Amino acid sequence: MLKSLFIALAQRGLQAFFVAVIVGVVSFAMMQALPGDAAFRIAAGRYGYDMMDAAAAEAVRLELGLNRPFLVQLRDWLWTLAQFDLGESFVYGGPVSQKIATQLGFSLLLAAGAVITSLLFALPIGIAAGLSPGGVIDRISLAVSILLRAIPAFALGIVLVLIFSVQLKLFPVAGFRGFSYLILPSLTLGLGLAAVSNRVVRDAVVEAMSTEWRLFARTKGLSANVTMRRHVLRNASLPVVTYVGVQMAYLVEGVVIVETVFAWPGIGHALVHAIFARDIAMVQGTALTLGLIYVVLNLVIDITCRGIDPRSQMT
Amino acid sequence: MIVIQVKALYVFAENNCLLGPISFEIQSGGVLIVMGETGAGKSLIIQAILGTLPEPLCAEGEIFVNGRRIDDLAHAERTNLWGREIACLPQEPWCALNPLMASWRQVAETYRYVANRASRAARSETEKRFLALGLNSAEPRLPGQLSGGMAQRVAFAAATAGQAPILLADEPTKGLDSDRQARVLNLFEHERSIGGALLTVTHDASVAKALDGDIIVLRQGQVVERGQTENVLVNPKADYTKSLLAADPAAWPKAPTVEHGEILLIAENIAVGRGSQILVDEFSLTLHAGERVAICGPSGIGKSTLLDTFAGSIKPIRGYIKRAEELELYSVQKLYQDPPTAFPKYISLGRNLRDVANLHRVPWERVLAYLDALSLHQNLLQRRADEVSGGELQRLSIARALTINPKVLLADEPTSRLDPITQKDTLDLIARISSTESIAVVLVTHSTEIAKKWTDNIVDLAN
Amino acid sequence: MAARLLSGAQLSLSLAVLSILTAGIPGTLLGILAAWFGGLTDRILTSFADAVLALPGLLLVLMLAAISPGSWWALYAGISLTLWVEYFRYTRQRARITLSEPAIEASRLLGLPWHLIVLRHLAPEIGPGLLTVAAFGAATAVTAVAALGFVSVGVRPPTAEWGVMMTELLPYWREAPFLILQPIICLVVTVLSLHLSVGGLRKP
Repeated sequence: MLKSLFIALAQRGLQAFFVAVIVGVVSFAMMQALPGDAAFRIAAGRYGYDMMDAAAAEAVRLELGLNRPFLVQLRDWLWTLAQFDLGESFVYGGPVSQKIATQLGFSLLLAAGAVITSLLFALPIGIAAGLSPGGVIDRISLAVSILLRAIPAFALGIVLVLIFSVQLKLFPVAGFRGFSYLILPSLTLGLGLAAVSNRVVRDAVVEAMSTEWRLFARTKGLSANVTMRRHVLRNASLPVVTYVGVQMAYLVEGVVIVETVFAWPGIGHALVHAIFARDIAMVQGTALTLGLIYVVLNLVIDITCRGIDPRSQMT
Repeated sequence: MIVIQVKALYVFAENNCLLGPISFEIQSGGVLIVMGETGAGKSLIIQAILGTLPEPLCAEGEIFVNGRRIDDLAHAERTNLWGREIACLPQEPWCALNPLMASWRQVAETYRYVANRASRAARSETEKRFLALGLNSAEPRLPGQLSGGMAQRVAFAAATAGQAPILLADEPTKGLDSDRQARVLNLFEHERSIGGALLTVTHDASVAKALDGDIIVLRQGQVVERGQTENVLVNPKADYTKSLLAADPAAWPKAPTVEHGEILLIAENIAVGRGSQILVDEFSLTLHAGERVAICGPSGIGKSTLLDTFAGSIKPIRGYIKRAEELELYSVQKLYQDPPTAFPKYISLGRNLRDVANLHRVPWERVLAYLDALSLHQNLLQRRADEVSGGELQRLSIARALTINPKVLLADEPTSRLDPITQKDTLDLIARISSTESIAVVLVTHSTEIAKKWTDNIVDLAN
Repeated sequence: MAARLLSGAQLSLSLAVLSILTAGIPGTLLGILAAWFGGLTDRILTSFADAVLALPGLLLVLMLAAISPGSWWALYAGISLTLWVEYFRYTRQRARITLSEPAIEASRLLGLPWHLIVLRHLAPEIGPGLLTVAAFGAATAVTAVAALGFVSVGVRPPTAEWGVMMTELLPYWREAPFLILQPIICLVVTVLSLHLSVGGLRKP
């Protein structure tokens, strides 16, 4: 049992390594691909075009070591990253890690809001649909799920803003100044997640209801309620939790896009902003953080699955 | 006292009559055995009594339990009988137990919620029951970690903890070897001795022999013959009953000793297994043309792995296998346990046979001649594997192998999914081909009874 | 407006078709190779796929496209590189199951050559599901193009692209909410028809 846990940890560790290498190499490639003289661009970004001159560009060039051979630069770039040194923002000048520390909290708040919202929708609807497959709830939830699945997160966000903020004036449009600002972004992401996960819940319940062990639990005398509680829901929760793991990719992607729609002060928004501003140190820092969060979330799901599946503890 | 009475029971699928009319009654302490092949409608009787017939099926007729008519009760009232008045032993105990719940919990919850014991009392009752059934140490295990016999007893304990006086058992001995079969039948005897009534459906004549009571022989939903077990089993009237009884391996005639030809294959002190795990060690076998060998032993002991090693699909971990020179590359062929998995899923059987014939330049007429000899109709060739019965498909795979003149036939439980009568016919056929075409056959089977009757050359891996 | 929506459709769909071809063909072939040979071949290919999957797909496309923002080629390369893994994983998994069935061992004992095994066993097993993977892949590509356009990393204005159009029209949502709904509806209808064309909600 400990051995398989160790293997799971090692796999996620390898994944984290891949994340770091990909983010590092791509950021470096971004650096090389800056049009014109990178030092001029960065200096311009930092001081504004009016304030910038050849001397400022030269200072930036020396500071960032842009005058060395290509492979040496790549090696140093990755080596700096390996020491967990994310460097300083090209645009703001301050340490990247400091900026990320404040943004991370906002992103995690949004992610948690999204997962909770999705479960609030997916669990009751999925269970109700699964208990009478082919029934009214099942068919409506299927149709709505197919439609929602086809609406990308940012488009859904815009539509929700148009309805709830612009027309009904129920929630604020963008930014973050209190709890009410959390509702629309969470709903946007949560609905996207629930669109698929309510069907997963439904399928798991249908599957559990049609098993021989469910029938045997009934014929040995247990009531419908006891069978539901002790057997069906318990067993159906396993594929559902596994699927939440599959959805982590959607969640992280969604955070990037939805934060941009709602100007949410999190990491995703910072990433997109940094790409736009060619603030490569920020791009690297935020992408790396998002990638590592993704790895950690996957690990948490791995461990949760093992926790609720007794089979994994017996072998 | 009559515990359960069934009057003119029918089961319909829309307008098709699948079962009936059938009437019977069972006294307290009595036994009724319903015997017949798969598809005879045996299980429908149990489902009709419980009220668990699947969707398009519906039952007609009257069913009384302890003098009360139950077939017209509302579903909720009928489910109240489950576990309290009628207990049902499932056909596949492994599938009937919740794979994620410890064994003892699945029994204790019956004591707790059906017999309404306090949870501590339920726990101690369960412990006693496990001890009585020889299941000590099995309490914390999950069903996946139980052997077939243990799972059967756990299911039995869970089903009977509510102390219902009527026990319905659907193929209770399926897949169990003779020792474990006897154990299950002992449990039934015990239930009877305390006044329980037993209804069991089975395809196995040996079960009927071991239980003393009434028997109904069923064929395609119709009652063929009925009476006391000792009369029907000893002195069957109907032809169908006779062939059913003759298909019981215990009743098979002993196979004649066959003459051996030249040596085809020698296995010298081989160790076989999957990966690095050794299942069978220091195994030696010399195989001659026309020889019949049976390898038997319980499941999981490495019978199939041994066969795969002979086929050359996996290499022995130690030792070596020597093939005679006249043994060509394709002279070793295999028959599989589940015939549909041995054919392509998405193309017709004819296409498959033509591929084989074209490749080995065998004239198509010869393939057709083999089909004819195995009494297979040509129009089977237009169908796909899942559209043909298991017995026909197994014969078809024999025909396919014969097409390319094999010298060795490796048969991996080729009849364990077939009905008793089809099983006997198929094994007879393999034996006949072995002697007429001088083919060496290695038969893997979990039944020592079959092995003993089919050949006098047995390797028992259990010893 | 209609002309811009149409040229947006042309851009999205041609990119989707191109990336299906460049991702699907190598993805499927490598999947079969990995399942067929197993061992080291399988391990190398699977590790490569795992490396691509280490980051969520859209994040990887975003990063790759960001190397040279506004470039059509960077976008296309990023989407293809991300999508091939879907084909690879699907094909490998199905092929492994099929190749381990007794029917394959029987075919080998009967001497049937590899191309007949691929033709008779693998192709009919994998084919239909591959269509589903392709339709969902195309939908992912269309969505990714629009998402990147929306966050100003993909194609740049003045190119007519649905995501870019949404960004352009966003400031006017109070005055003309219907304007911004047009590219959204185009996008949703495209994705929806791709999903429905394979009659499904979920990937295989």
